[in-house]
Amino acid sequence: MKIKVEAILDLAQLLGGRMVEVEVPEGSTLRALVGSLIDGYGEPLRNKLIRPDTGEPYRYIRFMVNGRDIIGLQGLDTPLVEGDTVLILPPAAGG
Amino acid sequence: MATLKGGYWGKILRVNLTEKKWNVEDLDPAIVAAYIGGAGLGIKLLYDAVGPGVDPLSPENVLVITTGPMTGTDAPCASRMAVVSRSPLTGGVAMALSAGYFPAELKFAGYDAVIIEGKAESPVYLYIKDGDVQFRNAERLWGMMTTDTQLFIKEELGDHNVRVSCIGPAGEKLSRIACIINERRAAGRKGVGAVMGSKNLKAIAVRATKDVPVQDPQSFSQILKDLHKLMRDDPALYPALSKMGTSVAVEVTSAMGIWSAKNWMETGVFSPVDKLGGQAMDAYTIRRNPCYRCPVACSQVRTAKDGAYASVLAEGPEFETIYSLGSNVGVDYAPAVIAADRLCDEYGLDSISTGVTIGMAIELYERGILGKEEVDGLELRFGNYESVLELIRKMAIREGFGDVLADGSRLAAQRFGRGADRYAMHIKGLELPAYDIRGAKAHGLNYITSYTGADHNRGYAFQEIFGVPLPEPVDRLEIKGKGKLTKWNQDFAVSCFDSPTFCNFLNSALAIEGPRIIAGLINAASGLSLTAEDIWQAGERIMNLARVFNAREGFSRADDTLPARLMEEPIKAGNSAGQLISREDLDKMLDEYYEARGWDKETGLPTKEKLVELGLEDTVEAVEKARASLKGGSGS
Ligand code: SF4
Repeated sequence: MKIKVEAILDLAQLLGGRMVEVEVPEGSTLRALVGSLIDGYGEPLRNKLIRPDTGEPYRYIRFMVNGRDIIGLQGLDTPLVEGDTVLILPPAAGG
Repeated sequence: MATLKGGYWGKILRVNLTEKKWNVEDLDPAIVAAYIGGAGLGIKLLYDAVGPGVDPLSPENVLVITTGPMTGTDAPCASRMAVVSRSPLTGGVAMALSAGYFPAELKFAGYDAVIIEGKAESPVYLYIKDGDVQFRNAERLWGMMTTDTQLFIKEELGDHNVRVSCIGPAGEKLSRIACIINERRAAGRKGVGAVMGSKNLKAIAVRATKDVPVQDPQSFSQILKDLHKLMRDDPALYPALSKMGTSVAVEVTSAMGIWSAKNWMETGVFSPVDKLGGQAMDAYTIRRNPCYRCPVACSQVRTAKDGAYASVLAEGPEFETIYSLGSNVGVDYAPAVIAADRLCDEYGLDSISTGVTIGMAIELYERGILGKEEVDGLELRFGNYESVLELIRKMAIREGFGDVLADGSRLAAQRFGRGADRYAMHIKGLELPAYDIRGAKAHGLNYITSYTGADHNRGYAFQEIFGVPLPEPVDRLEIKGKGKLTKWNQDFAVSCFDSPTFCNFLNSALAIEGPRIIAGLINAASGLSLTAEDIWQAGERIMNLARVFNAREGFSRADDTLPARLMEEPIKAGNSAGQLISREDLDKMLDEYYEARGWDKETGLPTKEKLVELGLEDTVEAVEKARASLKGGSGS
């Protein structure tokens, strides 16, 4: 199934754009999507997203599925369906 | 009660412009222990000085300028001052902060607060030289823009190290959205510039040399080490904010679908991040200009190299101005936004209120509610930046159609009639900042309940906007829990940033350790013995006192609301499509908020028990009177 992945700033640079489409197997969770992104985009993306000691994403990396913070869904175990949009945001401040 | 051994001077400068007299008063240590300094101290001094019903633009209103215990010390990001008054824009408390260098210089003069009363017979400026105060003729300065005013005063005083805080033509002409400018920074919002103008006070110039004493320098610098480490380790400050400034928030909010556009009609639809985002704006940056003792240096100085606005330089535009004079008026041409920002600073207009008021005028014109003859023949269309720039000029000098807009969106809509108020995007009279709160509910509840009106910084929901999972992660679209979170954010902002004073951008760095660090620093500086709990409670006390001030002016639950558009029209596109804050959502959030605050849900006023708990017994009578009047009792 196709999932839209949106990102900004240096994450977008690593992905090659603010919106990319990726193919993951039916029934994949967000965690599986993140894994396949890292498989596809390699070490630089892993270094941005994943803590080396725990293998889990940094807590300040923010994920949303269809605009919803994953804390309001099932976290990284949120199941994805065809056409979902996953937004990945790096830390920032200001305003 | 302990004496103040440092951090504070324990001195208030009182200036009476009517009589051209000044005197110095002692600042009671019990007051700083209860209200910290900065915003808290300013609100306390305002509350004591200005009774209910005082016309904000009359000599009976005061302009209070306060620094905090950290201002002018070695603490980073602490050169800030609060300008506090009764707002001519909202009718409630005005509290506007500015940073840069002036606040530190003011502190070096030996005062914690300046209270300005009365009205000068003709234009004056104040010159504070160390402890001494002079009243100087400002007739020749009247009408001058803010950069020229600062230069003129430095030249007249023969000292280029003088720091100046001043108004431009907008403040002189009593525009209710006028700001006060020092260097290229603004005490921007709520019309504090008009209060200064109403007093015939063009500027305050300061040159001072005293070092702020710190009674236990060793402990102080040890705690500062902890603070610097927290800052260095904060991924929100470095690299994003430090490198690109606040404009990085364009990228974040547009991705989330909450970067407001075209008078809040086209959030998520018109989102020109490629042209106005932090990365795009970087192309115009020529240098950074940090505030006094700030290692982050978010502030960007920008100019366009070519085109119609080549060489017009601005410090900024900050994220808020990129919205108000960019996306909100349909403009995606960065050099025009830079020029509009500069123009607002020079005329002394708040760029947020100015852009939002113009956005309303454009919508009214495009809808045919305003005719061409009413808008002085301007082609008022979203995206037409030439009209925007022309309107800024007209507003600042109150020329033609600009005169109607110069008092902000609420009063302009009232004058237009014809249902125009539906398109006036304000809360309590203060124009809405950039974040479309339909997609960030606690941020919205903060706009709704802030004592200053729609003010993003008085309880910034950095958990929702930047995903900071502190004190715990939140879902930005959830309604439940947002009452409690908003109370936390507001008490945190006023106790840890607006009062000590620290830059709000340290909020994620200080989200866990803030009150402990602030208490430690204040104690090491002053010899007071505050606990982290005292800091939190001071925050709550300040929020309650501000609420009481507003209650005396007739504010209540009914004023804690938002424009109908945000309750009825969902966001059309993007990652927040479909979102709104329904009336039911609003009520649920307000109920939870009042409960968390210990305020009664019917009126939204503090309960007697809460006031007594916070040591605000003196205010009980005023609140009970306000409550009785709301409930249709005597209340006279
Ligand atoms: S982070 Fe920016 S606003 Fe805050 S103190 Fe530093 S330069 Fe000033």
